[in-house]
Amino acid sequence: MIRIPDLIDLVQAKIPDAEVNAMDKTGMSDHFIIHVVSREFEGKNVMERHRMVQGCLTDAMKDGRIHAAEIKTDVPS
Amino acid sequence: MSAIEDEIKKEVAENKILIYGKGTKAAPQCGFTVETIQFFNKYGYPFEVINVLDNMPKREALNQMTNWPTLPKVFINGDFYGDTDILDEMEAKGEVEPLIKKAFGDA
Repeated sequence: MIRIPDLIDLVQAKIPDAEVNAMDKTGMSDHFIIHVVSREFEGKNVMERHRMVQGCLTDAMKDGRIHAAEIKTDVPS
Repeated sequence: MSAIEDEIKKEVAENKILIYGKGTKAAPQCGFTVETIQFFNKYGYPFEVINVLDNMPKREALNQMTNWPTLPKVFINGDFYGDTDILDEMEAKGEVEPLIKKAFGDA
């Protein structure tokens, strides 16, 4: 389990300009829908963007705080 | 190269659309595997689901080969496309159907 503010901190630690919206999908605080908006994604394809976000969550996924994350990415409009 | 990697490469080569997931097509054991099966059911082309739920060595080999930490893992025409988070975004841009048609020689 992880608190949403802590989850957002994990993403912003590696993607500082990220605007992060996270939703607890099941109410169990371990399945999340995470929407990340960052200029860092400009010029990157969807796989590269997702790998960047996954990279922020690696430790939390390995130790079980996060069981699953659905990721959506965008650049600022 | 390890025997597991050889097995994976053979499976990827033999199936135009291949899903490594948790459970089987008839009895998926993970919501994300269900979503992925439903995704490909829409298109009406054959696809294979390989259950790696209890096969940790194979899951680890897949993670390393794809540099992708989670299941399911989707391969289309030998290329890796992540999961439905990726495929949904590609579908929204109209990129999935041409890819599948090309894989099956219908383009």
